[in-house]
Amino acid sequence: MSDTNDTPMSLGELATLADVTPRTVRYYVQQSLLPSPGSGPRARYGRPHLTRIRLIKRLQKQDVPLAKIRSALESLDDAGVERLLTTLQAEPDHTDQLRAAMSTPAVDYIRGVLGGRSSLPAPPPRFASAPSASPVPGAASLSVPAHAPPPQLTRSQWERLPLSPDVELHIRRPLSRHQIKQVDRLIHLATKLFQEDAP
Amino acid sequence: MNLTARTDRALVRTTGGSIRYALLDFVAPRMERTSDRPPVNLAFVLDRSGSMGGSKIELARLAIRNALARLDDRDRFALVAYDDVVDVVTESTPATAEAKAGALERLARIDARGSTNLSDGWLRGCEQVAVGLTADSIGRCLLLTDGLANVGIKDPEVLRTHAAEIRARGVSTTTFGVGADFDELLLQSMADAGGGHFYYIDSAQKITDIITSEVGEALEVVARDAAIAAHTPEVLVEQLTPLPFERAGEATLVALGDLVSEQSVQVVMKLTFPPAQTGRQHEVTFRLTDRDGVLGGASATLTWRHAAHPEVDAQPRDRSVDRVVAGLYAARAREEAVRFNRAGQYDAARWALKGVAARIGAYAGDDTALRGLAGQLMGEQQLFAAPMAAADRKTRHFASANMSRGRDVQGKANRAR
Repeated sequence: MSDTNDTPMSLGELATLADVTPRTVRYYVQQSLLPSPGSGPRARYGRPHLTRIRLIKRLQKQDVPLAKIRSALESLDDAGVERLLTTLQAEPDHTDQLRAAMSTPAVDYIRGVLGGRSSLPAPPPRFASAPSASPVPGAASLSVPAHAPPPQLTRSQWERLPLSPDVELHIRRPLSRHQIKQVDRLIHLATKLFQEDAP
Repeated sequence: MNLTARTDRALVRTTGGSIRYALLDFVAPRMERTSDRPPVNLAFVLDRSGSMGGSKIELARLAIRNALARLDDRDRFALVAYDDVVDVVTESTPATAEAKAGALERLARIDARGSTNLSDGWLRGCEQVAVGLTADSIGRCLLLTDGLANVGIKDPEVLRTHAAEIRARGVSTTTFGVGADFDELLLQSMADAGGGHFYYIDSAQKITDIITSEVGEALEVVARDAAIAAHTPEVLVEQLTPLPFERAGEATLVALGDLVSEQSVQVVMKLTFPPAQTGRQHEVTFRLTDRDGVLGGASATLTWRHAAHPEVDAQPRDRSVDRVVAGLYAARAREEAVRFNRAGQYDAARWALKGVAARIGAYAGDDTALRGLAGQLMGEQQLFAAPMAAADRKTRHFASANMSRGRDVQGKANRAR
């Protein structure tokens, strides 16, 4: 990628494009995370600013501290920033997919379905009080496979997951990624626990 | 590895809303030595319900015998037969000579009877693959049926969801529909979501060829879980091919599944641009990825520029892209028309074809290929406006489904060789 198509932008335009506030941009410049745009109302920003802000946001999402980001940015030229950003943003997250699969491996998922005689997402009424005779499929449907179509949940709904013939877990979806992982762990532990105690 | 990218038009309007298409093309690498291939892990799931009686089950047995002959010690296989009950005929085992001989012996005793518990048969097959699944292998469950699911899970949406979930865990699903009585939409959607392929086998004589070919493809996989990824800030991306598709923030991902030696792949993405001032450019880089890095992250970049209306109106079109895009819309319209026809909605079937014909006609100009396609769609309206024989409907569905998924007329991978 080159910067030959670089059109200068004002602070406001840059902030809009990068989806941050102008104040954040100024803060980044002050913290030497961004190159100086010149001073006063004639300050002009370009593509290198935009890609750097996107990279900073992306790295922050991965919980990388700002100090670390600064030293990473210092060692990168414009092309390097672009490459890193493209890699981070466009790479299919195979590790995530593997993690989803590890949390409930194929065998467990399939056995869950075969065992549960499943009729899937019949969303139970909110706070269903009586245990229902139609169980929902295994925990696995919680993890989002990397290649599945994007979920189309526009409103929250309750899902009921049987942990044993007599015990159910109720979950309001959608959940955050973090919560999904927690719930996956919970189910994993619970499954083990109930298997131990099975007569 | 050479990924090429083309667009129909490179200029977009300053007022926003311009739609452009990116056509991406590449050929998967050639498998140099078959000794290097990844191990395959297959389950053959055979419908043994009453309707499979006679030549169908005999030919299916022959097909499985031929397919087993192609596997060797590093591979695994399992054999499942189902009607209303499911028999795991051979549990997942390394494909040694003894195991194959034993399986064939048991296979010979499978006869047709009973009704169709498609879901449990299929799930048992997937389970067998999953049991022996390793990180480097190609796990695939092959489901052969001639009927409707009438016992077990019958809801197509549920089966589709399970297929996708199981696929995400390393076991893909390929479906073979034999004869005129199975549900092509169900088998197609299980294969689409399951990351495998759907085949319509109109006469029992073709069973052997098609199954052998699918197993052959599994043995020639050069790139697992391939995908095209694009970093597309500000641009809305959709896709025309029915491949699994995902958007995560500014990244767009089209899953291509496993690619076979020298497979020729073509993907079209639809991009909608935001408003911006004249001269603003959008650079989009498309990258190939796969689980093992075989495709080497090949990439290609397209640039679109915002321009004033007169310049946008006067720009040239890349007709080679227009033709591919029109072909995909036509295939999609035909697939929809089959679906409407099946549901008895004959007007809707006609409108689907007519609408797309009109759209193609609007930009066809004097391009004979495009005008021809629009004319064909108009002409087909009458065919879909009345009840259609099941076999005819399946043939038409299969033809357009293959077209839109980049497969050849028999459903096999397109090869560059």
